[in-house]
Formats: sequence, structure tokens, C-alpha cells
Amino acid sequence: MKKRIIIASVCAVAVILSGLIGFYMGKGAVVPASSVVEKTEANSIFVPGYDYMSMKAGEKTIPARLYNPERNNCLIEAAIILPDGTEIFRSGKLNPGDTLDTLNLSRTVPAGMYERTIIRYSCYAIGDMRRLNEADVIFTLEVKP
Amino acid sequence: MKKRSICLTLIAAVVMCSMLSTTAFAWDDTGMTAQFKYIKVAPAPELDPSYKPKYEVALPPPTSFSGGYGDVTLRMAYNALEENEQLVVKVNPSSYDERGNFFLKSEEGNKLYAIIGRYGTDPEKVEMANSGDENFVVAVFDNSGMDAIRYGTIRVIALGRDAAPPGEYTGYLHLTIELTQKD
Repeated sequence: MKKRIIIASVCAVAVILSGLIGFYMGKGAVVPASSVVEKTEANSIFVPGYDYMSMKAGEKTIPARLYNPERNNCLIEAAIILPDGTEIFRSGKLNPGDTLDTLNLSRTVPAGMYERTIIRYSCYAIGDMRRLNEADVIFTLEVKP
Repeated sequence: MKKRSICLTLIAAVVMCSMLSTTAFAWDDTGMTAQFKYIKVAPAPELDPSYKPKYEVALPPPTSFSGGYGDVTLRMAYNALEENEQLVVKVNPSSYDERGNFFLKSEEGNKLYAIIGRYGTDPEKVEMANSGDENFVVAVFDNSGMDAIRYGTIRVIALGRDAAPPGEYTGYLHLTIELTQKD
């Protein structure tokens, strides 16, 4: 009888210990390993980049996806500027998560290859609209006849 | 025989408890409390745009510091570059004033001039930009990952801060990002 009680007690202690070990193993396994990186990136401004787009001459749309990434904490306004400085598109201020699947241009563009066309991203803080860092993404726009 | 089967049952229970507790508590205390997921697949968009981004770059937030210098690191967040391509990030000349100098401004409107530098993995090896340098490369990426393969961190070093009124100064960077072919 005494022996049974001892065995039962040892097993009970083993169960409790296993539970505790399991708890700490489970907890330890998901502690973010890169919390510093997450903090750094929390304030970053993510901007999408392109290398080439094309459209048809006489039309005023480019079938391209332009968006403000959801994880951004700011507004983004994108403008497309031809190499001669002519602005042909302005998105308006996009909230995080906003996506445009077609870019409606303000004018038609003559046929040709426009190397070093710019997408200019202007970024603004949500709320006070404070100006943030900016970026120019250089790409090639081909306007097909 | 009976004792042996009780013993085996208990051992099995110990192993089960250990595994179950690992699963049951496998979530941390950082706010991730969702334990059940329901995923509804979105219907395909009617018009699939022809041109999608090839990369995403994480621009740093505006540079603010109260000490002698501030560092900001550039990273990629999405990378679909080809093997022969590289992404070059430069400081756009519009980051400088009319004399070609980088500066920071306080809320009171006071100006603090600064020099822009760059480095890769070793913060001791900072290379400084010349005034108005239009081709000052601050990061180069290829298809190998999200971190720059050359440079990657921008250091902004304040000049004459002893003479500047106290306050928090902020500088804005305008960067140019270009996809090029590797040499």
C-alpha cells in the first residue's frame, strides 16, 4: 500500500514538473527573436518599386498596381514624372492599405521609350500631416504606338 | 502485471501532459492572443494589373537626434530582383540646401548643418559625402536578401552644435532608388 502511494506521488510530481517544463518551453519558443528589428521597422516607410511599365499611346491609363503598404504608419502620395519634368499622374494621399490597380493619367503621352521616368513618393504623418522622408523610384515607361 | 500496466499508463500520461502543455501555452505575452484562425480566400480581382512592384524599400523615419550624430539603416521589405540586377539607393540633391549642405531644423526654425556619411557593417568606417554630392550612394542591394550588400546605414553628423540653441532638430532625406544591371 505504502509502495503504491509512493509511486503515485512520484508520478504526480512528474506530471506537474512536465507541465511546468512544457509551459516554459512553449513560452520560450515564441518570444520574438528580433524585437529590435521590429521596433526599427515600425517607424520605417515602405515604398514599392518598379522597373518597367507600358501603356498604349492615346490612352490615359497604366494597368499597374500602386499602393501604400498596410504596415505603413503614414500617408503616401505618388506622382509620376516624365524625364522632361512633366507630371502625368498624381495619386492623392493614400492611407495605409489603399491600392490603385489602374493609374489614371492627367494627359496622354506620345509613343516612345521614356527611360528614367520617376515615381515620386511624398510621405506625410497621419494626423498632423507633417512631412516625412521622400523617395524617387526610377523606372522605364514605354508608350506603345 | 497490474502494477506494470498502471506504471505504463502513468508514463504515457506524463508524456502527453508534457506535449499538451507545450502546445497549449505556445503563445507569448506580446499581445498575440488569436488562437483560432478563419481564412476566407478573397475572390480573384476582375482586372489583374500587368505591372506589380519588383521590390519594396523601407525608408528610415526622419532623422532626429540630440547628440552628435544619428544613424538610420535602409532595408528592403520585399525583394524579387533577378540575379543580374542590383538596387542602388542615393541621396537626392533636393535633400541639400541651395549651397549643397544638408541641414536639420528645430520646431523653432533654427537650422543645424550636418554632414551625411555612409557605412556598411563597421560603424568605425564612415565615408563622408562632399557638399551637394549628387551621386552619393548610401545602399546597394541585390537578390540575396533584405540587407544591403554595400553600405546600408546613413550617418548624419551635426556641425557646430555648440553654437546652436537647445532643442530637437529634424532632417529630411530624399532618396533616389534605381534598379540597374550588375557590372
